[in-house]
Amino acid sequence: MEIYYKPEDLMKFEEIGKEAPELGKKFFEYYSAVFAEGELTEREKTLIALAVAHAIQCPYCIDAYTQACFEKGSNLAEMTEAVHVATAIRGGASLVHGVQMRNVAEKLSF
Amino acid sequence: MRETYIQNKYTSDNRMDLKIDPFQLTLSRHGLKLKRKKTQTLQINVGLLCNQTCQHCHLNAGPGKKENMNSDTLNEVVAYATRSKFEVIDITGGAPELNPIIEEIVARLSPLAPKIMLRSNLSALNDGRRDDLIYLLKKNNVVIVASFPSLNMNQTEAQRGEGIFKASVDAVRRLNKLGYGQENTGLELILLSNPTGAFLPPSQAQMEKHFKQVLWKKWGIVFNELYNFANVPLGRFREWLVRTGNFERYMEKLSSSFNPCAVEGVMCRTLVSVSWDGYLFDCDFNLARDIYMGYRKIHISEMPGPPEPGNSIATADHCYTCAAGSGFT
Repeated sequence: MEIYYKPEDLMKFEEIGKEAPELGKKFFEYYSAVFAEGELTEREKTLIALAVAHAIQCPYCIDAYTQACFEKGSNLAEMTEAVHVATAIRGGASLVHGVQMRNVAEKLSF
Repeated sequence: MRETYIQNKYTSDNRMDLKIDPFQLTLSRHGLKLKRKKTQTLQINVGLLCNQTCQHCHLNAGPGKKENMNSDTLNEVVAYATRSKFEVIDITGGAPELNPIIEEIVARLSPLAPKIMLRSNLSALNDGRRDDLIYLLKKNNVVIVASFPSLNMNQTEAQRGEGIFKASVDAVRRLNKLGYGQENTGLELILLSNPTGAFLPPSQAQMEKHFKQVLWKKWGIVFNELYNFANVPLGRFREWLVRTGNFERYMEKLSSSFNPCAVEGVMCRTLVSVSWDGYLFDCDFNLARDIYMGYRKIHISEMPGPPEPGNSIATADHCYTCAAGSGFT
């Protein structure tokens, strides 16, 4: 395998159901239901998905949800802010662990 | 047979390595035939002259274009509209405001249908030289259908050119002061949003609500309705798609979004389009490709009235645009 991530593989996602069709079916039904209009709009949900895609650094999800965000009517400024939200949470998650570091340091120190 | 031959001639043009089925085949596969209903709208393309060179333009309109409707053709159009009694007359371009006889066009066509529409890119309408035209539009209750692709300045200007976002906001503000877009004035302002790239438009209802909130909150401007139209892979937009390697993926996206239910409501079933030189087409997109109405080259002066219900409509691969998702009206 020359590269791990190939864009065309995204289109093969549904093939994942071949060896476990019931689980695949349940997953994709759940997936569709999650993204349907509810208390949040479809546009808001795709922005959240874009942010999460960056948090988990999934290139398939970034490709799919950049396009989906445009198609649900978000613009590039909104999408960029969503990525910053993911960045802030990821960065904050690291930084807040500094409290643990401080706790350990305090225990070890005079 | 003749129809099939001409159809193949046009639809096989420039298909490159497309892996999608020809549009006509997709219709057949769904047991559909694209036939005319009662024609209610006369769309008049008054020329290709425009002050902008938008990336998504299917007509390659722009500055310096010489194709403009003249008084002789206008006389033929007025005679045709008089004998045909359309419900709607839709004036488009280019930037129709830049046609040298646009005021005469609006003044003579306005009495001929209950609803008159003028497509505007806003910057041409508010260029400081159209006061008389704006007065005429208001006096005749002409509906203004104005391009406003995005709430984002950079994306708008990437599509339409530098400075266009502010010019558009300023133009809408001026129209609002005249009563356009305001409730109970009868002066209708419709914004038209095209995607700023190789993707399909969002749901019209959701985006209308979002545009209304944001435009009022950020700019204090209002409008009546928002139309979302997909970009048609012709003209300058097609060139951009090919140049950027987006063409095949975009066409596949359009064809995979084919919605047989949308075929019922496509505009070509109830519209006839006339070019600046007086020839008839099933829509403005076929006009862009010189695919004449029903595959026959007919001048407006030869037409006794609206096209007959049941007549065949000329199609090509770009027709996927109008049949994608919830359709294109």
